[in-house]
Amino acid sequence: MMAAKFKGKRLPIPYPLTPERKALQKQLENRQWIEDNWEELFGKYAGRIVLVKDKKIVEVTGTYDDMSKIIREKGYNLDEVCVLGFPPAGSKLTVVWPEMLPPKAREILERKAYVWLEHLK
Amino acid sequence: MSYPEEVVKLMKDRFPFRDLRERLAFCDDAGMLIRNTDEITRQEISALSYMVAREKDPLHPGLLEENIKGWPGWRFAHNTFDTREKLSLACGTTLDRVYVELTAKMWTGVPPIEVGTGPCKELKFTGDEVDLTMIPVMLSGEFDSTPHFLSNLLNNRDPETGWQNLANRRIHLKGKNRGVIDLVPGQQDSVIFMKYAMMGKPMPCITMNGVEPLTYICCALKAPAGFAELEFWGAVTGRPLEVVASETHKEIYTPSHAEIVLEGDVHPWEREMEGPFSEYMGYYCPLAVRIVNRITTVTMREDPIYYQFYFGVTPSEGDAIGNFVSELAAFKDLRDKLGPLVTAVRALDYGVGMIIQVDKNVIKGIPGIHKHTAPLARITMGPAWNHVAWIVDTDTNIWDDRDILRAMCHKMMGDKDIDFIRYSADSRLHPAARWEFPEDDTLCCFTIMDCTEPPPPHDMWYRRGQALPPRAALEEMEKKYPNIYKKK
Repeated sequence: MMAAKFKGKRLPIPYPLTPERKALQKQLENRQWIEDNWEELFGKYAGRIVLVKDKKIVEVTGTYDDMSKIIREKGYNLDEVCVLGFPPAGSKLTVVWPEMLPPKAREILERKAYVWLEHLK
Repeated sequence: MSYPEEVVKLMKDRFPFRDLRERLAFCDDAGMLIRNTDEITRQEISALSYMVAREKDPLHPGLLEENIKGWPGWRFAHNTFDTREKLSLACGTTLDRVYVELTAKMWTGVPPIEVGTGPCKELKFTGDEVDLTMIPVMLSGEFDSTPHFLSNLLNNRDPETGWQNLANRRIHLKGKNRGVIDLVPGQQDSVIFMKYAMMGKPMPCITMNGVEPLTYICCALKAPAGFAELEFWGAVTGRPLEVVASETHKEIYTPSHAEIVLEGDVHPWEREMEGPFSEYMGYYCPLAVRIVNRITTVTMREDPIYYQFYFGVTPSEGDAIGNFVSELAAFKDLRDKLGPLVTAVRALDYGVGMIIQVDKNVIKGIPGIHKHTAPLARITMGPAWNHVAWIVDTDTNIWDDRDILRAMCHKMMGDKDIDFIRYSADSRLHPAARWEFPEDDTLCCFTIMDCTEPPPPHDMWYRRGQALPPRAALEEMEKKYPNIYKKK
């Protein structure tokens, strides 16, 4: 009885691909692009905050607060961009269970995030 | 906190809640739910969740968002169990009784019963149909680089013993059919993952979203290894939980009334970057390389309700549930080991800080015994992040911040009442970690502050005593004007 109050309408299948969902998919692609080009981007932007839109870096700041200001001023849609703070050069970052990585996986990771793994050598 | 009588009566009539919907119906009828039909974006839900958690009334309404921009047909519930008072109601009791009642049932269990099918299997997506972007997962913080599932319960099974373990884990959305899971090394689910990794096999991994809060509490509790959390649900409610076998891994069971179930595997060697994410200490966590969950099947209800906690700067719904389960587990352990010395435990900020209330009469019998409570509670609460403890006595109301501050002002002397355990475990997320010495950045200084009444002769009756108004008059006035004193 009570649960009936929370019944809704059956949704169309597949779920509609709305502009907001497309934007989210773009955001995921931007993130993937950063990771695919990690080495090159890290070399340029270590220690900086970047905003990626359409697989391009369009804004660079030194702090999250500055980036927040730019996002508000220029009206970026947070659903379709990706913001990422690159670690400072030489910083030690976490790799979960590095000892479990086989040589091949480690090689791939080192290509992507070579600085992160320096402390493991 | 005194609950309105009608709310307690309604809770007793309805408990146990079989699923999230029954719980939401209860909240609705008890005046603890607002249905929001205004169009709202996922960022705005995050902001609302942050704001609602700051409401003073502990039984303030949670929200059911019914019009999410870009996700037609979906509903999104949040803040329906963001205080201890609401969480106690979810356990079928009230805050003044919940710690004693629940710890008395630890760790007993009523095994779940398997049913053939359930509402969680009304819709099924497999293979290319799987697209996690169809779920309105929100960004908690402005700069979480992509959204995270934050109230998913991760379900895995020990390959050696068959023990099914559950835990609340975040999953970073990374693509249509994959996410990155933050497993904490040393915790039960990561130990199970390591067993699969050593065998070179992928770990079956089922995560579910949208269950009633008692299931969240049971799964988040720090139960002993080998104890199936779903059985504790049965112990609290007195009836078995209905579960169904997963589609892809028949040996793993999920509550049949879950709103959304994600089924997949975690490959032993695959890693991807995770973060930044709004972490419990109120700042973004750094990037990390973590394990990848590949989703092969999604099942859900026809009209799903997605549930998500806000994380980040506290107070938040994630903080409330983290504190509550830490308090329950620590209270159980301390009472088991130290008996009536410990009268209450309060966790702060996901258990990073804790306040332990001890019986001052017991301390008089064994001076100094109360200091042993802090390291003991730390083991239960989480040695990897807890780093400060205040010990107060029964003259201090542990739930009243003003009382706690008063105890710190008047019952603590820096040179004799503060103890340290230097170079003990901590998280590298700690903002006060020793960043200047990179080799030490995961070590902390565990601090214990003794804010109990000083030992004799301080408390000789003719010299000291709590300065309160005449007690008979105070009791009379409390009865006559209950809302003046208790409305804090």
